[in-house]
Amino acid sequence: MDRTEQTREWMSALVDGQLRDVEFSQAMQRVADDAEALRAWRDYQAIGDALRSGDRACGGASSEFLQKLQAQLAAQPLPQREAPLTSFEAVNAAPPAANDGRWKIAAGFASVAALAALTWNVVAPTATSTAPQMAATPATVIPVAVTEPPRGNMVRDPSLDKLLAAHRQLGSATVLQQPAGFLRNATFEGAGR
Amino acid sequence: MTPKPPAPAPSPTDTDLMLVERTVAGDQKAYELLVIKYQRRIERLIGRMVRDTDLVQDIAQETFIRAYRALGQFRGDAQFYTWLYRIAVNTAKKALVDLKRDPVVSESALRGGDDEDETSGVENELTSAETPETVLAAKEIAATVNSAMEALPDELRQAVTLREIEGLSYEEIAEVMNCPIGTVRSRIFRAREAISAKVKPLLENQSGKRW
Repeated sequence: MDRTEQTREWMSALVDGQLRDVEFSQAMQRVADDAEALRAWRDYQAIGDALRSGDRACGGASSEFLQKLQAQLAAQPLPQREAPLTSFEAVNAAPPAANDGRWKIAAGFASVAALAALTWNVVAPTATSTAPQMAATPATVIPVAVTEPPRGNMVRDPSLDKLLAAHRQLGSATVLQQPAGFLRNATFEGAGR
Repeated sequence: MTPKPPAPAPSPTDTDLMLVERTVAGDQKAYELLVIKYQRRIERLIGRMVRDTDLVQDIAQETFIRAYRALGQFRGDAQFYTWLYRIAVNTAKKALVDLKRDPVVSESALRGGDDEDETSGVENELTSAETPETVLAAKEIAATVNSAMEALPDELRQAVTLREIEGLSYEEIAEVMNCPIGTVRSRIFRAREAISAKVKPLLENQSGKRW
């Protein structure tokens, strides 16, 4: 077997992953020394593609492409072994995506906070609508409900009813954080005292 | 003492990893083997994303440069082509963003059209990496390879078919053909040489003569 034939035989075995240890080193040395090795490698890759893909095979590699690349590779530093990264990170270190783990945690906290605020708004007024709640009522409300108790029969102010109905909120609470019904009752009961 | 079982034979995928390791150790020629192996597939992949033939070449060059720079991070957890594929897609997207152009097709379409999936509709379309001339040349190469296969002696044709089309290892082929592994290696080499003799003029014509 002459040198050229030996080179091509090694390349055939290399295509199939059959070269190891000394033979692999010898073949790679031949790739560095002898252009015939690259030719054989290109031929065998093209033949394999054609056999597997038929007329949709891509054809042989271009020598012009390789020569242009060789010039660019010569200007590159040798690749170094580093911590593994994904291919995407290798290409472009992009900012974390919206479904990144940190954003998921932040979104979870935001959801819990929103739920707590909603629960407080809905539950807190009814749960604490006892006598101490009256003491906590803003001072601007108290004169309306307490300082002018009606004498005798209560005369309901229709405009007040209309106003309360228009501003009824969740759980019958008003913007004053008190049930609208409680306000009416307080006014009425005040008359009896 | 029981004899140590022989190490399993490496596969072509192992060859890629060996070539990567060799490149990282400083052998640029090893990387050139990977470039020759995957150049056309990468060009075809990029050609599904961009229309400009010159741009396809530039992006393919950039893909191999970026892959070379990042080669130290490739550990062989995935196949080399899978890793290279992602770099090519991201490089093409970045190039299109830089040029403020939209990709011709979405990545989902690309995924369906990967070389592993031969049934994709996208696969059958002419990409910008291909011209009518290159398509014709590919058809000629395929026809020549097939006719060369027909002309092979039975044992050579069977060996190369089991290897290239059925994907059997040399050990499996040796078992099927009831012959030593060395004979399998020799038959496959001789089959490739016979086919190569017929197809080489077409390959030289298509890909340039200065090899």
